[in-house]
Parts: sequence; structure tokens; C-alpha cells
Amino acid sequence: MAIELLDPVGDVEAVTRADERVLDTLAGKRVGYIFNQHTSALVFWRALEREIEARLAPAGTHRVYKVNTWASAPNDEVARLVQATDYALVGVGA
Amino acid sequence: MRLTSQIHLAEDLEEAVELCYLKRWTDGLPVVPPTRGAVERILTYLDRDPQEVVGVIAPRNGVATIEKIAINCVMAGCRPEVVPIVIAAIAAMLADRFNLNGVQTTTHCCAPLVMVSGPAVKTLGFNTKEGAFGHGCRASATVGRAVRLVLWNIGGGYPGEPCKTTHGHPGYYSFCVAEDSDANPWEPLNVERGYDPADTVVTVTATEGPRLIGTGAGYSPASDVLFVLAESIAVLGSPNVTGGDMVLVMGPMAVQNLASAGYSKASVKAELMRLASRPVREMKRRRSISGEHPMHWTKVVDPADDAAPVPFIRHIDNLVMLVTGGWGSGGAFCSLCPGWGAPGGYTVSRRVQFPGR
Repeated sequence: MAIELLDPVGDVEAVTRADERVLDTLAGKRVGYIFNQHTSALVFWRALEREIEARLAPAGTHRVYKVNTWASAPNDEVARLVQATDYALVGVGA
Repeated sequence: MRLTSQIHLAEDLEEAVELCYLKRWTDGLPVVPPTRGAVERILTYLDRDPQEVVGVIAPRNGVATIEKIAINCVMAGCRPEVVPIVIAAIAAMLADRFNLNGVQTTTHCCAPLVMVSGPAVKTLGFNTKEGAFGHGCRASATVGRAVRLVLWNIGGGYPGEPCKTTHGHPGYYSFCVAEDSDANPWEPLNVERGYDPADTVVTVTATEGPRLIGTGAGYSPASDVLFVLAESIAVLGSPNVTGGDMVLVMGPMAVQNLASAGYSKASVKAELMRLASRPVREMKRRRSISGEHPMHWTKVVDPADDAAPVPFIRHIDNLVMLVTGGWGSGGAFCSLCPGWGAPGGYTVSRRVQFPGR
């Protein structure tokens, strides 16, 4: 007689997301940054922000610089960024 | 009993064990095939809704229901009576301050250390003597093992992708220790953490593997014992130079030495906090972390003051002390489990909820 085994793998949490918005251009739009503050990434983030300013002239900038590189950004800070921006660049890797 | 997990079929026991490997349900060690009957025995004991959600396990964001936890406990070899301890450990790890996502994915080599204190240590047969970290004792070994399998199967904590632990350590297989109330002259951990003495409490801290410290407490005065412990904490390369928690597992002989000299648990902690440091001049000469590290010690100590002590225990609560283990020899061994440092793995406790109580 066959042995029945129950699958131990948990279902992935279902998350409700807002509808995607498609921007016709990034130029002049409000930009958000969620960046870690790891030593190895700081120079790159600064260069990236300069390039965004120079090429896309954002109408506004909202920054979330994570105090703890190794933890997710707090949900309330991310929610504020979403409200205040049209698009965001997320760079969290070390 | 309504169970929702997918069912897989195996022709015999050997095929069932191999199926667990094939499905990547284990991290390398063989597991007990999770049959419906064994899972139902745990669920019957728990008397909870199998679909009750304990939490979401990072980084995969798998939903840890009572049913899924029970399945993983079967695979670990748990008796039903210890499963509430596993559930409490998982609930503790889900607190924000533990930063489970970071613990599971960091390049640092920390794993959740499960510490059990309170009456169930005796009634459920946890080992608090020789081999206290679990080998040779079903309760200790299987609780630690079940926690790991939950982190593996529900949390997706696979090395390489997405978990970057540089070396890991053997505690990634099973990492559980219990407090010896008989050998402890001080306030037990469950009470220190704010619970009633009658409560069994699980405390978790993410730590490196234990490193033995020969304190010499069998033949040295308490002041020397404290000095040796402090020197062993304040080592270059320790992640705790950035802050964060650590666990000091105290052997009974070392504890008796300190208690006989009049030290309380709080005063030992205070002394270790004072002594466990390195001078700025040494830290500057031998850099173990980049000067641009966001949690660098220069955030709390003036780098221009060469004689200033750089603390490896930033706050008294960063040091968790647990009494357990064999009596040992005059070396009076203790074990230090350094934490992850400031980024996370901070200590969290939860009361164990046994059915019907």
C-alpha cells in the first residue's frame, strides 16, 4: 500500500497590489529612491542620482535611505514614498 | 480533520525518504516522512485549527500555518508535546526586531538559537547537562531541527539563493539549548525576560556557533573569571563591535564561582559590559570593519581618544546569559555565541502555550 506524504512547503503569501501604472516618459516625473547605505554602494547611488537629475530633471525627489542596510525599509516609509512619487528606483543589495 | 496540503505518494519507506530529498524538503539530513497519521497526531494534541496562521516566513514569504508547522515537526522527529515550543520559537522569530529576512539571507553566519527555560525543560526531557546543545537528547535535537525545517520549507532558506551565509555553521541543522534551573543560583531566563516562573518561555537570538571559553573558575578567583570572559567577548573580528546581542552560555562551575563571590546575574552583566572592550588605538590599528560601515564603532566612541574603550556590549540587554551544561573540569567551560551585530537577530521571547492551559 502506498504511503501518503503531506507537502511541508508553505504557500507563498498572497499580496494585493495596486494596478500597474505605465508612464509615457520618466522625464519630469517625481522620482523615489530606496537605497541601502552600505559602503560598497554609496558611490554608485550618488552617481546614479546625479545622472537621474541631469537626464530626467525630476519634478520632485523622495529618498528612503535605510538606516539598517540589512533590514527591509519600514512599511510606512515605503507607503509615503509611493504616495509622493511617480516611479522609484530600489537598490538594496550590498 | 480538514488538511489542505498536497499529498504525494511513495511505494515504501525507502522511496518516501528519497522523495523528501527529491522534493528538496530537507537540507541534507534524512527526515521522517510526514505521513497523514503522524501529522494528525500532532494536530490532535495541539487542538488548534490547522489553518490558523502563525506568521509569514521570510525570505520566501511562505505562510506558516499550524498544519505546515506540524508537518515539519513530524519530519524533524518531534513528539507532539514539544511542538508548542517550536510554535513559540517561530512566533518569536517573526518579531520585527529579530529581522528574520536578514538573518536568513545575510552573508554573516548566524542561525536562530532557541533557548528554552521554565518548567517544561524538565517535564519534556530537555538536556541541561553534558552535551547541552542537543546531541543525545530527542527534545533538544528535534525542537532545533523542526525550527530549521520550518525556515527551510516554509521560509525558503536555501544556501546560495537566496541565503548568502558565507560558511553557515552546524547549528543550521539544529540549534536548541535549555536552561538548568537546578544549577542556576540566579534569576532564570524566563523570569528575567518578564514572565512568571511557572511559564515555560522560548527565547531566540540569532548567533554564530558556540565558542568554548575555558574560564579557569575551578581554580581562579571570580575577578579572573570575569576578565577571561570579557577578553573572549571583545575579540577583533567579532560582529558585536557594531552592537547587537550575544548569548553567553554559562557552565555551572563558573556560575557557582561567581555566585559564591557575591555576584548576581545583573552584576556579572555589568562587569562584563565594563570589561569587554578594546582601546581605540588598537581598533584603529587593526581594522576589522570598514571605516565607512554604517554601524561603525566611531558612531559611539570618539576616535580621537586613543585610550577610550570601544565596547563590545553596547547595552546591558545585549548580553543574554543562560546557565546549563555539565559540571566539567577545573577549566569551567562556558560557551559564547556572538550575535549578528547591530543589523538584527535581536533577542525575542515568547511564552509557550500548551493545549488546555
